[in-house]
Amino acid sequence: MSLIELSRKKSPWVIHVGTGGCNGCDLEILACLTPRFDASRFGVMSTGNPKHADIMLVVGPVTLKYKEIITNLYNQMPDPKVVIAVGTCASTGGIYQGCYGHCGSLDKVVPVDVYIPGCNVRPEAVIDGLVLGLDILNEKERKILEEKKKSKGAA
Amino acid sequence: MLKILANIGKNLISKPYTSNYPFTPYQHFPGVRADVTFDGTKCILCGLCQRSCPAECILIHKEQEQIEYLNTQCIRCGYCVRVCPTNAISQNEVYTKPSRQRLTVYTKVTNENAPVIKKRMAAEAAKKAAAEKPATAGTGPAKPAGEKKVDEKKTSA
Amino acid sequence: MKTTIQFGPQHPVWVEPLRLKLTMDGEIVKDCELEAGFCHRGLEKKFEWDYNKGAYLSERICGICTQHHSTCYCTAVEGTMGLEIPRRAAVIRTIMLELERLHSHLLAIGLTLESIGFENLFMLCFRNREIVLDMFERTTGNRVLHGINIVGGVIRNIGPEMAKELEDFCDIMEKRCLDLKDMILKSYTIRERMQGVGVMSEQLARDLCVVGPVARGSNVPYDIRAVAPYVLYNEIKVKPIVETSGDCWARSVVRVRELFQSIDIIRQCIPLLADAGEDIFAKSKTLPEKEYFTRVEAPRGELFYYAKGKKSKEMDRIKVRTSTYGNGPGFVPLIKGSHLADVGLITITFDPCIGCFDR
Ligand code: SF4
Ligand code: SF4
Ligand code: SF4
Repeated sequence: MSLIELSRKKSPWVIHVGTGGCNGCDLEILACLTPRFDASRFGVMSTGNPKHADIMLVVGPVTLKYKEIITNLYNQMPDPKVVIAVGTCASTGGIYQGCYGHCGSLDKVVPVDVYIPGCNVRPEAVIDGLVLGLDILNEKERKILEEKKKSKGAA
Repeated sequence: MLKILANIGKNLISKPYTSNYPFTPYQHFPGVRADVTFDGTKCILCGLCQRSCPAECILIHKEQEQIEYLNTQCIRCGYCVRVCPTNAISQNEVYTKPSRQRLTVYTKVTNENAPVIKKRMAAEAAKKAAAEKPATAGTGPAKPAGEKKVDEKKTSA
Repeated sequence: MKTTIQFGPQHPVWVEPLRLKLTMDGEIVKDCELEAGFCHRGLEKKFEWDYNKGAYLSERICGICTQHHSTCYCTAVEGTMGLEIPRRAAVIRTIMLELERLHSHLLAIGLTLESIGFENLFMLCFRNREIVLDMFERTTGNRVLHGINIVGGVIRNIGPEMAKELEDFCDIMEKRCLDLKDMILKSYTIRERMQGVGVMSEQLARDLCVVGPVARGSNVPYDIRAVAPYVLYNEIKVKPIVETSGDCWARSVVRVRELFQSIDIIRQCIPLLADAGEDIFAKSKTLPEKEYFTRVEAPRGELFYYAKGKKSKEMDRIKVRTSTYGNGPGFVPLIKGSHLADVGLITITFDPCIGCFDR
């Protein structure tokens, strides 16, 4: 395991975006960062700036008005990046099936790596999802490094 | 000041409040609502759960005799459990693990008392009888149509 | 020189999206424009379906005052049908409503403290909040969205053992809340930071028709539990808690004092459980062509549901007016003329819930 990989695994920074669900899952993410389920034991830190973040936690079926903003946020995040759909309504639309004001689910707007089902999700599930997300983050990192090597070899 | 010192002392001695989750097993109270499981031996394919699910996540395929349950779309409300006439649905207590794809669970219905299955069996038996006694074909295709009509009546009632 | 600053929609102070367009002159905010609608999903349209499913949908308008939304919806639909709920269901609903208020106020106080940089107390508030959530998980089966209200009553009973646990919970909670109250009210730093910031005068509060703790912080004793009693508040008398100064401090103090009121109401409700009947729900019928409205005091203020049936299982129309919708216009005059550093604090003491705001 290279040094970069190790440090990424030990301190993932997350950005939390609420895009119009109820607040159930937002609260559980907050509960995840506070004493009971302290996610900072794994070095997880919540940041408000997409340019510093490795993982994006998205709550809610992306509303039509928010669609543009979330693509913007996604594009601002540096590679490698992981998007986690927290909650049923971010994953598939859940109970908001067929409402006119949203685009259905998150994966119609940006590519999603991990789905965490549950309405509302339990904090334990969020922790599990973060752990799974970290694995994916490392996979992506390796891929990028390999590609770089290849392009160097070709040049 | 003294109060602060006493508090600090207390907090130093007491054990940490944080639950050590990934390293200790998941704990929950009895009666917690998680996803649902279908019992194929009890279900009679009435379709009531499909019509009453708020998240539209149960699909009953009467022809294939199976239930399609979109796990990732279920909101864990427990309404289907209350609605089912034969108690074929039960609610789990342990949450679903996160995954890389959407989860869909298929359950094959094997209950012989289900009207649809009864009819199919009757049709099969009739076919068998027909095969033994040649030159009485033509009843087969008429039957599914009749079946559908019965279903429609049920839904409107 | 004038500069324009976009505050939001993705901003660390709020959990949810809201945009403020601030026109600045140096550090002072000269003009403020509120832009909402980032959470609009179109739920009022969605309500035109089977009224039993509507109870689950109304919970998911907002996750912080779930119980208030579903109680209000169920009461409105029951009123349309002319259905009377059993007494036990009413008691259970009242207990749940007050538990919900506890957790919502703890959250609001915590977020207020975080916005002025008081991390420690924020964590403490959340730690206390976890006890309430555990109680919810014990009684209803879920931490945030409870799903126990249906049209006609509730689906989970509170047995004698659970009632005992609730009593113990009240004792623990009261002790913790007293600690918290001491820490907040006696703290010199917090008081200096919040006093005199974002003053809403009584006249302004009456003009803008703000509701809930915002109104009560400005000396307007408006509380639906006292003005138009619903479920069990006919028997349990509630006296509105009022503060006079109308600034951020007063609004927070109202919330802190309401914690004890809620605990008190739960204590009064528990003995009523013993001699209420065994039924927890009444059988619901088809909707007649009638209309009805209900008002409920949610943690953020008055919540209003209007229901209209059309002689079938489906609803004809549901109109929801949430508390943040009433409070929203109050941001603007307070932010005008304040410092940029106070904008986050002022908005967060209104306890904005954008999920409710936009629906
Ligand atoms: S998944 Fe459920 S609890 Fe979570 S935000 Fe969506 S509706 Fe709310
Ligand atoms: S699970 Fe129950 S409600 Fe659903 S089709 Fe089968 S018998 Fe009917
Ligand atoms: S629990 Fe609710 S959402 Fe899930 S399958 Fe049953 S009715 Fe549908």
